[in-house]
Amino acid sequence: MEYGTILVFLAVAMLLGMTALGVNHLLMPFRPNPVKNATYECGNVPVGDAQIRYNVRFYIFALLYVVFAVEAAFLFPWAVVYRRIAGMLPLGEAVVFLGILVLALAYAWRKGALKWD
Amino acid sequence: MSAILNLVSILIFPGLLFLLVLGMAGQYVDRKLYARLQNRVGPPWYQPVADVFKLLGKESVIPEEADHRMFSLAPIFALAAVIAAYLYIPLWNTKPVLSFQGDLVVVLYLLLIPTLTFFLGGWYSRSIFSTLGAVRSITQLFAYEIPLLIALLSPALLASSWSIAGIAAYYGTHPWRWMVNLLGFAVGLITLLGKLERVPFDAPEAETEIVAGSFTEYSGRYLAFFRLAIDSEAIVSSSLLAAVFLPFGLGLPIWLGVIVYLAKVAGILSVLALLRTIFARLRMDQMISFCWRYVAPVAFLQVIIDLVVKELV
Repeated sequence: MEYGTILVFLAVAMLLGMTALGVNHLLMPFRPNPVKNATYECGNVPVGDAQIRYNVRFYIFALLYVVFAVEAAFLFPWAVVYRRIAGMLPLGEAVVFLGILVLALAYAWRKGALKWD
Repeated sequence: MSAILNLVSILIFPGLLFLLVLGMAGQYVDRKLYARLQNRVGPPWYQPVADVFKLLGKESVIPEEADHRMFSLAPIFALAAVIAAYLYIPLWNTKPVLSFQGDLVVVLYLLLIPTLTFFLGGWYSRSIFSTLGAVRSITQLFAYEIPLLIALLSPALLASSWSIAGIAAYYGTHPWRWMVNLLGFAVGLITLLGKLERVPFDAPEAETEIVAGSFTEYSGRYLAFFRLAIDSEAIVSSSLLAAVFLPFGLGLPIWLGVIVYLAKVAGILSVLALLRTIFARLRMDQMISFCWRYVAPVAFLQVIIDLVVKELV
């Protein structure tokens, strides 16, 4: 139900945006020509494909990001409930879990995964 | 009657219209302060509004090569996500327009959407400058998002609640506990600079290298939408930081509360403008290693501090 409201609001906000764009469409000038619609390349005629290759480092940071985002997702519910379970067990488990991840970050750092070159 | 009241609170105050006006005011504060710190005169107060109207009156050119649908949808998505996120943030009391258990996570992910639209808009522009900017945007996201998530985990841990209203209510019963989270607040400010792609983390739209990054091909109304989305995102993220880390003046009457809220947001924006003035642009790799090596461990330290405080005090 609650997530439904978010969807509804996203839809309403999108609709507002589209309406604004639609109204604006009536007001703005529209005079296309081939030169104007060409890709911007500092005034030159565009050369080659724009889908260029980029640094492979991108991939390693994406992996790191996914690992830690999932970790954060696991910590979200834990943060709320860990006080309701008696004893130190939930706390200890989370510390072990966090410890492994911090160790992994230290390992990645040591191996030079955080360096660009 | 209550339906009309709801509609007013969503569309006018404190919803859509209030956010857009505040976004432009925030842009003015930022630009004026930035200019004064550099000993320039700076823009007049109506400059942000004039900019938007100018852009709306211009032709918006979509390049021949670009994917037209994605190109024109990206700015709308950016603005829609920011507006939806604003409704879940308590501003001057502990009650936002909407709230449920776990809305902090939802707000965080809604605030992630603008960056994704920068990536998609740039990627589908099919221009080399845009592609470079888009790839930089998303790489930067990988660097700042984790420290931000971990830093916002700490107040939630302290309050044992994932609703922003719940955190605010917790501060109501423990007024001095905000001092525990100062490190987390600092992490939040630094990562906010990355999220808004401001100096020193403005490599994704570095105008001296790659024209305007993802926005190179954008013009007219689409650019106006992106600009509005970024301005509103600055307001929404500072309001989020203020609600979670600076819980002052929550029990005040509404007019005083609004003033306190505006002061908090203006304060955060001024700190951002100050940081923008004193730093130079970092390279992409410097930004990433800075975030992973220093900011992320500090965020973890903050979580440990919170655990200790919660267990022992």
